[in-house]
Amino acid sequence: MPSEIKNNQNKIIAFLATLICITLILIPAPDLLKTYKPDWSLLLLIFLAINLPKEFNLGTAFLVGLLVDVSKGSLLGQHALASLLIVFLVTKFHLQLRIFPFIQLTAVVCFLIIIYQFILFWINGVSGISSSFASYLGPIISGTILWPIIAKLLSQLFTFSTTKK
Amino acid sequence: MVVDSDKHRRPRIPALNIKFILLFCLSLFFLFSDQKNNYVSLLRNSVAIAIHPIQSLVDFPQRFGSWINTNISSRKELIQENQRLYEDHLQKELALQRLASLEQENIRLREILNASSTIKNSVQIARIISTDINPFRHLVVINKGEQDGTYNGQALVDSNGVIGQILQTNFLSAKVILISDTDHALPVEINRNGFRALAQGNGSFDSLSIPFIPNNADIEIGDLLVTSGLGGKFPIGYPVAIIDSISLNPTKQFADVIAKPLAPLNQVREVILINSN
Repeated sequence: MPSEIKNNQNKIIAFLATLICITLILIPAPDLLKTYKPDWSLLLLIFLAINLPKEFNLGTAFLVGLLVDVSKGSLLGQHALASLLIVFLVTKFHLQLRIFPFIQLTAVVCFLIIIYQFILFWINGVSGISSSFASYLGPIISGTILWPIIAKLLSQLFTFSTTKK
Repeated sequence: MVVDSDKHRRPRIPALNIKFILLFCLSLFFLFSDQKNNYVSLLRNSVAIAIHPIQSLVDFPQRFGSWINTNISSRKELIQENQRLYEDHLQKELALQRLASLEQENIRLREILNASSTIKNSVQIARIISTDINPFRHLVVINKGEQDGTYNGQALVDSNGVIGQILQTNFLSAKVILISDTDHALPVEINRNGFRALAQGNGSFDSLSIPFIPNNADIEIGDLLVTSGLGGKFPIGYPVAIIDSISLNPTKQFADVIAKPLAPLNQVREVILINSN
């Protein structure tokens, strides 16, 4: 398959995946699961930055972050800033991350979600929005658990121009 | 394929650092301008319009469910419901007649007192299309926006009491902050004696904190709190909450007073927008 067609295909899939992320953010969850809503968009962005860093990097992270900001009603730029930083880190080290064993990669993703949540917490604190500690812990746990599943699922969807591993 | 993969073995991302610094500054600019003034409201509005179809999509199952419900329910049930609604309507009508005469009397008395009379407000019904969008806040989205004449700070009630106010209007939808949000405080008064207080959200849907009530204040469990209209945003006289518990602690300057909101804040679907200007 010529790489240009593959590129376009990937772009369409990424676009659809972003739409699904926004839908998942907006879907009301039952009270029990409410605090465990994972950062869907962040998981998608991390996956893209590891596997397709040429096509999807900072610009994508920024745009998706803005979409999340508007749909969550947070300060405009909060999620954009946080995902920008995470994607920057991932893109910098994507070659190392690619050869990590799966469990190690999951640990790294967990660490990245912690940084992400910390930035959100920090911006919330600066702008005077108080919130409980548990609401930051939930997405970290659920995101780490969901990462292997989402990564497997997404690697089925996208076609890679570079051979993995 | 092999040649292709060889070429891409070490993909270089052009100008990563510069791009990062630029976008970083841009998002900082967005953050500051969103916090301090609304330079970016146009951007936010246009993104919100792009998201609106998804919001409607998410809302669709609920609407579909209620549509099915109305279409499939049997004739007998419909007749029963109709009967019930008719009786309900009659009772309301009766209450309204009394209200109309009371309103007239009130206007007359106010004229005697030379006070301005602002009792009638025009209203508009809106539907909540999205909830729990943000775990840190009590925000919901309604399906009425600027094109329906909503404005920032507009008050929302339901048939039981005050719900919240509009935080931000977009073109097709509006974001509403509930009275239970930790950032929200509402000027109220006790209906029985006109004692002024504030009803502050504390992050729980079924309680509001009433701060700064002196230990010797005339306040009792079961007192009705209504909006006092002093904040300038909420019209006067809408019921808000009922005093649920008062704990007096002589070592503290103020009593701990908790009130229970009258409106079921986490169950409501239809809300009424009050147009007060």
